[in-house]
Amino acid sequence: MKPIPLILITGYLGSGKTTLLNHLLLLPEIRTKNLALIINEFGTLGVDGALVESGDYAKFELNKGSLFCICIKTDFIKTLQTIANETQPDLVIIEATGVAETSDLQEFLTVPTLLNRFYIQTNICLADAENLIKVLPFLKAAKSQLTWADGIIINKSDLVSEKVLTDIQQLVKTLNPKAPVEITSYGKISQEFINNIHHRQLSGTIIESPPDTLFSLSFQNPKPIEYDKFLLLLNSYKENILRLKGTVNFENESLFVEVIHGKYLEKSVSETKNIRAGFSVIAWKTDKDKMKNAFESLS
Amino acid sequence: MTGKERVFKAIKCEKVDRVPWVPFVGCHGGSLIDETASNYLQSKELLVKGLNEAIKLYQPDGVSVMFDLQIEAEVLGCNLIWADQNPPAVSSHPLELGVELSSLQVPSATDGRIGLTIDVIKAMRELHPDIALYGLITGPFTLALHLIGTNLFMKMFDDPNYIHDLMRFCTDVGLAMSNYFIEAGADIIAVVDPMTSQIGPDDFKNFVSPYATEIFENIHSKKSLGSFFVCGHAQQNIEAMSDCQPDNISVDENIALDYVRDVCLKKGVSFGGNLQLTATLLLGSEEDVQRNAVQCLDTGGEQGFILAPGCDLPFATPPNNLQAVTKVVTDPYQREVIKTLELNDEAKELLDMSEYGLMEKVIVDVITLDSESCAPCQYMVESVKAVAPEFEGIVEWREHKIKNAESLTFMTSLMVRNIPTICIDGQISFVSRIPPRDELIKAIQKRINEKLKLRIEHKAGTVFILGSGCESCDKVKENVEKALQELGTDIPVKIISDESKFNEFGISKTPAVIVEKREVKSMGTIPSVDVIKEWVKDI
Repeated sequence: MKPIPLILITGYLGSGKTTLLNHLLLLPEIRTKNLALIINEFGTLGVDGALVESGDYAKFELNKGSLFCICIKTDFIKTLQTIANETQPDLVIIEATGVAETSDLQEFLTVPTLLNRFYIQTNICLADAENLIKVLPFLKAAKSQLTWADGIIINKSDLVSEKVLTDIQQLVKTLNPKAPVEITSYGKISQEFINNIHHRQLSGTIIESPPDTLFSLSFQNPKPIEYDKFLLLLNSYKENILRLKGTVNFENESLFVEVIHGKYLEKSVSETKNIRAGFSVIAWKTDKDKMKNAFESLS
Repeated sequence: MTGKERVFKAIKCEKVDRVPWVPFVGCHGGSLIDETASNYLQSKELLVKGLNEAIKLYQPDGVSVMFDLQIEAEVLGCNLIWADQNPPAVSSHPLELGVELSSLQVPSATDGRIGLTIDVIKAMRELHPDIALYGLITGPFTLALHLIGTNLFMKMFDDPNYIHDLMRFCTDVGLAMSNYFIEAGADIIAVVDPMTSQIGPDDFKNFVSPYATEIFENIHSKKSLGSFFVCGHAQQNIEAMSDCQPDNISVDENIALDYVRDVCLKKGVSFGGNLQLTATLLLGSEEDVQRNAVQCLDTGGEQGFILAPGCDLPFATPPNNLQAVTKVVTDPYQREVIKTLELNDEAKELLDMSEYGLMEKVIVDVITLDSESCAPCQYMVESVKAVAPEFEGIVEWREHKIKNAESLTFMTSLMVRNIPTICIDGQISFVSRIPPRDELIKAIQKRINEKLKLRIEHKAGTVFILGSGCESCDKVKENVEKALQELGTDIPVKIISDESKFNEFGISKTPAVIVEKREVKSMGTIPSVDVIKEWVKDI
């Protein structure tokens, strides 16, 4: 029996996986195939209202809501067995959860009952330009999905500035220098892009990128800071701070401060609900501990 | 030592007589009593029945009373999707749908399925005073994720104070839940927080550690024990977890057990878990399972380790596989066997045993680990030795110690899987059970009779008398008949008087007597040319 190809779609919840899936379902080379879909997202439909278009294909939903990867394994393997033995499609498309490890999904295919029944044709990871930077330092899977991807789509590019887009592109290249990157909105990609992505079989456990690739720092209830010194520090880290957000206790007043890819904003605290002092930073290309010390020594 | 004492001691890193075994029976209990997971997880009677069945089958030292991380979420307004073969799944997150965090209340002991769980703990406590009962609560970070969805990760940057408020609330829920379960009689509170595997150690220390520590401190203040469960790739947080003052940490197969052991024992925290759920317990053979269990036992060591699956057992886990784990935990010899088998895994070619035991004598093979070091093996060898004189000259017996490579090949060739085993003429006859003298004699005698019968069936002959009807021919016939009568046999006698056939027998003078002996050499098989040659040479 010939192994059945799989297209794996990964990406953080809200990155537009379902929209991409719907787009793929319209591409002639995919539409004409005998298809099976596995949907494994546990998000709320309300997020972007996206639903998989109904159509002529077998659709399997994996215990929608099961967060726990090791528990989903049983269902995932069972579903693939059913597909291999009963459905026997020409192509399977899997929409994985945002917390799934690509390496796990790949490993599931090696259990004896599935061995040589499927192969990964390509694994595509979506990143939404708007939220990627905020999610990456916190959610491990978001980073490893990008690292393991054969091709990367930076989606929702219409929602951000050129500067943000450039930073994201550079970040993605650092995490995964080999994968072709496509920038788009509404998950619109060409068949050509799909055809040009070739699966690279990686092995081993999760690949950790160098710690200074991207990191977050959090400063809770810091003692009062001199305003000028704070701005000076921000300026010295201009190239490194991608995002900063929170309430900073300055000597005279507390201000709500935000930095978005080099753009500095401040508001008086009364304008926001965020009254507890404390701020978070997402930064890259610098030493985390040094930056931590620099901020801490301000107060 | 009772199971409960064993678990208690192991959790406190004290010496135990053997490693305790705690199968986490959640929805799997439903499959044991032919109920769906959704029926099972919503009925006190079914839960008690399923757990009793699990205890009967798996002889555990401890059990989880309920394994469902959606109980608190359900009470707090998450929608659940129920499944036949899985615990329910959360499908909506109230805080994402506009519910205010401040409007959420810590559940009372009677809300939703909390009361049901408390009742099951009470019932199990009364029925099984000697088994350690684990009461499972949803860890605060996982509960937070249930309540807000994956926006949690984005809010860790956008609004960390909100996440701290949310964790504060989820911790209050955890404190209340642990108190309810401790009062009901649970021995160990397991704080199950699988979603922490998604964050790194810095965020763990910031967003999880203070809250988890508070829960474990509270458990200790109630003179109870606490275990921190995690699953997934959580290696990066094990050290931070062990600093939250749990008594025990339980992990799944995604984290190397030796790593967990080294980190935990250094901090005086016991550890457990790691048995492979899907690939082995659910889909593997009994032998796969035993190998995996032996690996865990070897790595875990004898102090501070609890053997357990990595998480909730899959619904359809074959009971045989779990019983196979029970066997290696409770029987040190079975462990040795598995280890020996594993060492010789890529064993040499197997022997062709299809004709084993067809020789004259009956062969009794005793397959042992080593009768000098394994007590059951010794008894089995002695039982055979004791009856051997009864069959002197007819029965030959041998011991095969599988510590020797050739004995192992022999064992594998005879498809023997357990130690010790008695085979009579290559047939597995007594497995792990020392036969009483009479039973063993009967079994050997039966084989002797079978062989005799076979020999008679396979040997036959005819006496031909060739003659053309002369007087001497009649005399020969008379003598033959008398001889057969005196021997008491009924070998057929055929008289050939047709002179044209004499030549075929190579006879030129009559009367003549020809004895033809027939022997069945093969039946239902294709003998090789070499074998046939040997037979022919024999003629």
